[in-house]
Amino acid sequence: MLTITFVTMFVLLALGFPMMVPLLAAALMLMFFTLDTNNVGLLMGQMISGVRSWALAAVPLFIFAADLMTRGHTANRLLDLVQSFVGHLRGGLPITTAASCTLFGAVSGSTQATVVAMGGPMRPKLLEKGYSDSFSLALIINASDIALLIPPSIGMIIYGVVSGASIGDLFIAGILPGFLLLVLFSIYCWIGSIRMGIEPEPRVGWGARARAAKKAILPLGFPLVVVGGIYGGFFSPTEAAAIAVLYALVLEIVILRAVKLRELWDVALSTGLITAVVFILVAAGTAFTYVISFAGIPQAILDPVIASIGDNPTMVLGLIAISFFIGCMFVDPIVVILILTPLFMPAVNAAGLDPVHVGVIVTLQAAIGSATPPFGCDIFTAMAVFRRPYFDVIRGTPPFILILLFATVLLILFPQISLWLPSLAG
Amino acid sequence: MPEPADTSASNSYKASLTKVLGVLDRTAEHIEEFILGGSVLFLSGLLVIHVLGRQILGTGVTGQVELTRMSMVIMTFAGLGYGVRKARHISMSAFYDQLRGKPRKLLLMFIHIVTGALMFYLAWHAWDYVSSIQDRGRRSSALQIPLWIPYMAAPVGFALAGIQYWLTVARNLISKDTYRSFSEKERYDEVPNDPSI
Repeated sequence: MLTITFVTMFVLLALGFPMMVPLLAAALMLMFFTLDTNNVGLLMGQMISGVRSWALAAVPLFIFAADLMTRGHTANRLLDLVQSFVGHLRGGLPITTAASCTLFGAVSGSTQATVVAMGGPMRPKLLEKGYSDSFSLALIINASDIALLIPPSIGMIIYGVVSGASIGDLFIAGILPGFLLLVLFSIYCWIGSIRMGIEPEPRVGWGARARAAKKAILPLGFPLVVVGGIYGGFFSPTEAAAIAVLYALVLEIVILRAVKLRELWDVALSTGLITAVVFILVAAGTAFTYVISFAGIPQAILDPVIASIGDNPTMVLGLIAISFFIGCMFVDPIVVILILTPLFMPAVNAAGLDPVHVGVIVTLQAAIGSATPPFGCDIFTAMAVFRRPYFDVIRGTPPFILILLFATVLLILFPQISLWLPSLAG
Repeated sequence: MPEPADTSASNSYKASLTKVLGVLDRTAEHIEEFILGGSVLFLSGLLVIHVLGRQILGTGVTGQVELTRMSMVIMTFAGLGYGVRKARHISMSAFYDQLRGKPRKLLLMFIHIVTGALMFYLAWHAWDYVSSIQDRGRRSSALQIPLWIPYMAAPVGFALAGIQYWLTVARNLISKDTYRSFSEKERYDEVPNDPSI
């Protein structure tokens, strides 16, 4: 019966059913045929308790704040700032793109919002300068994935809720790995520009730099308030998300007047929609995880694997990275985090691994999966935003995926990259 | 040449059906938007006031954890039908995207019929679950709000999603074009394949 259930799940997924359907159908089949119960109310209780979480409230709040900033002047001001400082380097324009995506990740927490906000203005500039479209598209979708590691990060909030790890510590732990990726991408951009024979832009004077910095001061206050508030112990991540909303409202509506008050309703509605389509997966994923755990399936699958690799931390982390990477290539990263995290927690504890370090590895895999064929969600966002066919979008991604996998290996071998900053915060 | 009488009667029947469904659909849409947008604004306002109160006055909003949790449940399930209406539910569409014309429309209708049926089935069980919560008189601990009130969002949300899925099927049955939702036409074909663009 187990095989039939998982085959059904895969077929529903592959046919293009909404992702909640395979999860709920599999949960129902397991309940009826494996657990021999028809208490569907139990599933309802699990679905409701999955989203009835105070910590998860940070997700709609950060999306709300990011949406306000995307509609306002924040994105452009951050872009101008980065370009004035690094635009003149060899590969300056793609490095500007990568750095701006990283910086915008610090105000948005969503890879798709970053593709829209940074990719929109940067792609025409990259093409005009002579960079190939496949390189430009791959750079935009992969650099946008750095947003998932830089706080605030929606992937980390979901992981924190499921694993019980401190979301505040996870936020802090993602900063250095995010910058590591930026450095690696910048090196690749530098090499790429030499290979494509593209000359650097003229250097911008200090006067223009000072003007760009002045204009970016207020948008840059956003990550300072969020990260500083959490780091300093002033706010929990959910409270920091509320402050982020307040900051975005005051900045974009009152000070910069880039967003009109009457637009607030549209922003709220789009936030509600994005939240709902993610949270129904959280609800369905919680119900599915509950049923498979009740049926003892995770233990049956993982116990022999874990027995064979023992409690060697590096091996366990490697297994986690491979499992999440493969999962995220096919299914939305949030679903993968919801389902696989509880399965691996016993192994994480047995190996004595820090759940915060594991969370960074998991979030990195979610980031890689978001941009990796066949089904990375950023690929589809880029198709919609830039109106390009699927194969044009994915053509330039392999080097970026290799860089991301190299970063995964570095993070597994050197846990300090993730854990050093949280250890300073105490 | 004049159209046969039965074709014109059938066309006018289709037009009136579309009109009636359209009115029902727009009414439901306004209600969903009010609940969804309202719950986001309520949640934001509540938590902003709570944090400011806690930081400045040293005291937050009483029962904010309960209200936040209830808003989350309402937001999730109120957005279920709205997500179908806007064709925004996350799916793995690679196989579907390869299809064109009639096979694509047939697969879409099959997906919507089955998903709609599942939604109605879950709505029925969610109703049972909420009734049992009401029978037991469960209330939130601080504010003493009966829990069946926010939880009603679940059966209503599933039912509205089911209606949206089946309305989309109806729209596809009576239209020549392919509709991803009752009001949204399939737009994938607009993506240009010309690499020079």
